Amino acid sequence: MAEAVYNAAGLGLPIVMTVANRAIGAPINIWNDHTDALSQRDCGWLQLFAEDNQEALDLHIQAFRLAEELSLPVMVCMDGFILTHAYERVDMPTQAQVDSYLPPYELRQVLDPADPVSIWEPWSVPKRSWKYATRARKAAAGARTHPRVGGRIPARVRPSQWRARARISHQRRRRDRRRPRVRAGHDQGYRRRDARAGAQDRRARHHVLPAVAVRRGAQCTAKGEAGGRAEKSLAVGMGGIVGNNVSASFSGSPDRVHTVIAGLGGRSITRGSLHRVFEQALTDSLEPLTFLDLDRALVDRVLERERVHRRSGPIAEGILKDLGVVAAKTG
Amino acid sequence: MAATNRQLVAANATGCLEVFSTPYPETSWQIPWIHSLFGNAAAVGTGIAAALRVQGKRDVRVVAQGGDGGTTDIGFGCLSGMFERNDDVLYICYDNEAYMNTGVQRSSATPPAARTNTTMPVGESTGARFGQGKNLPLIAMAHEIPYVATATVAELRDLEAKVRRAMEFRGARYIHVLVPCPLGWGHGSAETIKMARLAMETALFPVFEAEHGEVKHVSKIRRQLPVEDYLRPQTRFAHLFKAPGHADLVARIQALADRNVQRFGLVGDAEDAQ
Ligand SMILES: Cc1ncc(C[n+]2csc(CCOP(=O)(O)OP(=O)(O)O)c2C)c(N)n1
Ligand code: SF4
Ligand SMILES: [Mg+2]
Repeated sequence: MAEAVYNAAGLGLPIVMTVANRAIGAPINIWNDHTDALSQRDCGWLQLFAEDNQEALDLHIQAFRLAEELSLPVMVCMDGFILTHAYERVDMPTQAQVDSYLPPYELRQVLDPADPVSIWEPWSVPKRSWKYATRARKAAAGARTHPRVGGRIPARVRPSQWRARARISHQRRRRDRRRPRVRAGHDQGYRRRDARAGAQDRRARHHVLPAVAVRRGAQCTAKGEAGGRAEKSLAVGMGGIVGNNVSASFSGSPDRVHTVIAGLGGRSITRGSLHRVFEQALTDSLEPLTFLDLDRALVDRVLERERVHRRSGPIAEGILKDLGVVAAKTG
Repeated sequence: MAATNRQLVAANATGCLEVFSTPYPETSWQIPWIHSLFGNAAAVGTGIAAALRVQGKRDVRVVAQGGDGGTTDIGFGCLSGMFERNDDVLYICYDNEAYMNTGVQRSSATPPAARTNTTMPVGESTGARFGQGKNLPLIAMAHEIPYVATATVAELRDLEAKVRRAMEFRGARYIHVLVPCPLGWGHGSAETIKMARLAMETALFPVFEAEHGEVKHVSKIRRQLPVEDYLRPQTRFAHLFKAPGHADLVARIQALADRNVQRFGLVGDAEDAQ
């Protein structure tokens, strides 16, 4: 499947794909996090993350416009269960409104017997030029979707014809940008709650990110204040996926940037836990990489056992054994 | 092409056919043609058919094609889906009984005892194992799609007739063509047609047509030849005949051929419908 994702981008197909984000096993898990989509972040697709059902609708229409303008495929990511199984009243644009925002699609390449062409990715097309051009195209996507960069672009994509609020990326509470925060998707109601820490709400649009959204999010941090990002994804061994992207486009001191990994495998992100994290951030006692609500003692016991036994078996089994939940078979 | 009055779009899986027909910047295809991946030709065909349907172009037909690896192994899920949805695509498998484009590795269409680079007859091993592999024509029939046929490159008129017949149906259709590969099978290029004919005349490769899951027509063999006639000239089976030889394995292969004779009623004079 992953290969087909790359292939669609390489062929320049303006596909819009809805992704119901789900945690990836093992251990099997049917709840939501973002590791599935973000594992495909380098495939050449744009990825948009919806905050609520209304935005899921809006983003689909916007995604078609982006895909068709740029000949790039776009994923519209909806948090599995949280959004995919939620009911919400949504404003439906009329056909006329959509049509005025989304002009008829002009096919760029056609398989037509009257004018036959062969479409494939010949291996001798210089890969470097191709990659470079793709990179430039993604940067263009970033510019076109970002409400601030260049100032001129957002109107092109914002479907203000039907909803003034619909934007590809968001920026909130601009009064206080000292502690910006980057996040993606729906994160359970905490966004407007913590005025101090939730200063700037940059709805991360992955992989549009490096060029624009992230950099702006991080710029404020560069001015000397701590910045944060909460994310539901993890690159094992590297930390947060969004976090790494933020750091890569951040010219300030990286130790001023904190990553909080939260909600992996659909684990609830509670207001109380977030408050604790924000308090720690404000008192500079937050570690650069924090796993929200981690049972540190449990993990330490598992790690200790691994240190002692060379062949310690699957981690999940070890944790279950420690909890005494099942009769684990590993020693 | 004639069967569709040139109103044809083709999707192609990765493999010998794709590689030798499109040496960049040239292409051999005079019809619109697309290559996407090794495993998704059936899905691409489905997509093209859907797009043509939306555009109301009923006269333009779709063919998807792949090698035996692209069909029976990596592309099998996409193909089964295409069958199950009865998408309006003719899928053609060019079966040379191994992954030839990458240098002769076993596929699930490789016959038992054959030597490939991943089934070397060394030590205890006697080539590809018995009892493995998939019979794609029968699997296609199990989906009860409108039309399934097998053919070989030895009978081009028969193949042509089957493509024409396939184009008379709407929905998913499947043609499985046996194409000997001189490189992988180890016979002279000039023997290609002969090998295909022998595969048929030994009953190792039954040639038939089926509609909606029922066999409708069988190409009869007047006199069934012993499988040895087919196996001996191919170096991929040479280990069966080198001293001390593997008469037992040759007998097992003969039994497979005899089973085909029974199952399809292959031996006889008439070419009537069953
Ligand atoms: C996912 C993937 N795996 C492997 C390959 C390498 N590959 C290209 S063609 C091929 C073998 C094709 O075999 P088959 O489908 O039998 O066609 P043939 O070349 O024998 O006609 C392989 C393994 C690939 N292109 N993509
Ligand atoms: S001879 Fe065999 S390996 Fe060579 S192109 Fe034909 S099928 Fe492929
Ligand atoms: Mg093959």
